[in-house]
Amino acid sequence: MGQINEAAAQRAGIRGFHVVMKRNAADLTALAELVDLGTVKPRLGQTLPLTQAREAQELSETGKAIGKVILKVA
Amino acid sequence: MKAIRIREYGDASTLKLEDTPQLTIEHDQLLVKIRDAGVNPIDWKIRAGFLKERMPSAFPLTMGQDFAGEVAELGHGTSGFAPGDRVFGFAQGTYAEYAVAQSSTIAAMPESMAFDVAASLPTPGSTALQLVRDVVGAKAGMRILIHGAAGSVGSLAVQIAKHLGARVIGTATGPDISYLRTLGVEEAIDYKLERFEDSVSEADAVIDLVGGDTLARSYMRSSRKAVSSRLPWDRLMKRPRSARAFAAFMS
Repeated sequence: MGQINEAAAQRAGIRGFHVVMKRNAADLTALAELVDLGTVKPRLGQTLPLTQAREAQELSETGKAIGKVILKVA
Repeated sequence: MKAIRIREYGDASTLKLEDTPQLTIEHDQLLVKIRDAGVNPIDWKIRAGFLKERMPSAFPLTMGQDFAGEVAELGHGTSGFAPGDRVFGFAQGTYAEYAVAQSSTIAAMPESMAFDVAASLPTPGSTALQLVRDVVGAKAGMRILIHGAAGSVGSLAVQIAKHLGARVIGTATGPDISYLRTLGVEEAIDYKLERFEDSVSEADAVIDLVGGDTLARSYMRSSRKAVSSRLPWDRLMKRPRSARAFAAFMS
């Protein structure tokens, strides 16, 4: 990942800004509510045991996963 | 405890299942028992060393940041949770039987929610929510073009945008097109069969979850706001045209 080229943005007459996902409990709660109400349905993919972490990451890395890959720990 | 760790950056073969020492928690932390861990692109990007300049890792490193599970132990001064509570969120090293979490980055799971559903949410859900609600400011009357709309972040972004009243056009390919239709998109464009520039004449915002030249091509049309989770910037800077603002979004 790179950085925004502020100078190039200015030359182009647009505003570039950098946003980073902020981990916070309020958004987690909001998401849980949306899912609980059925408003949002997460797209789940394969679930693999922890011992298959390698395969799980490869699924994500190669873009072969359809839906979120989950590692089952317990 | 059992944990998936790496001792060096590299491909997936660097991931090893190891027996690791018991974790200790400090003030305002919790020990959580992991049931399910979500696998995110950031995990293998860290493993491969793509982020080593920005986020250097200390080895051995336990992989993973998203989880759903139960509170096992509370640090001194940690409030709001009790042992046995079903929780989900972010923690350091979630590909493991236990992980250390901060109370500010976990939340209670609704009673009826399954662990795998909760574990799928933290990174993709927070990314989608903050992109759609905060960066784009989705609302009724808005038309949003989402590239990569069937992926983990994209599928949540589509649903959140619709919930906030926006109309959504999504790009995807193959069987994902019919999946997108089930989400109620106004239009589902198969990027392998047509160029989205030819069918989408106008959008109030563009969310690019694909990368490459996708965002630059989106600028050709009259997007007022374009955001991307994928860079490189130098390339898309060449074609800003009508965009007024855009953001790099990392998660």
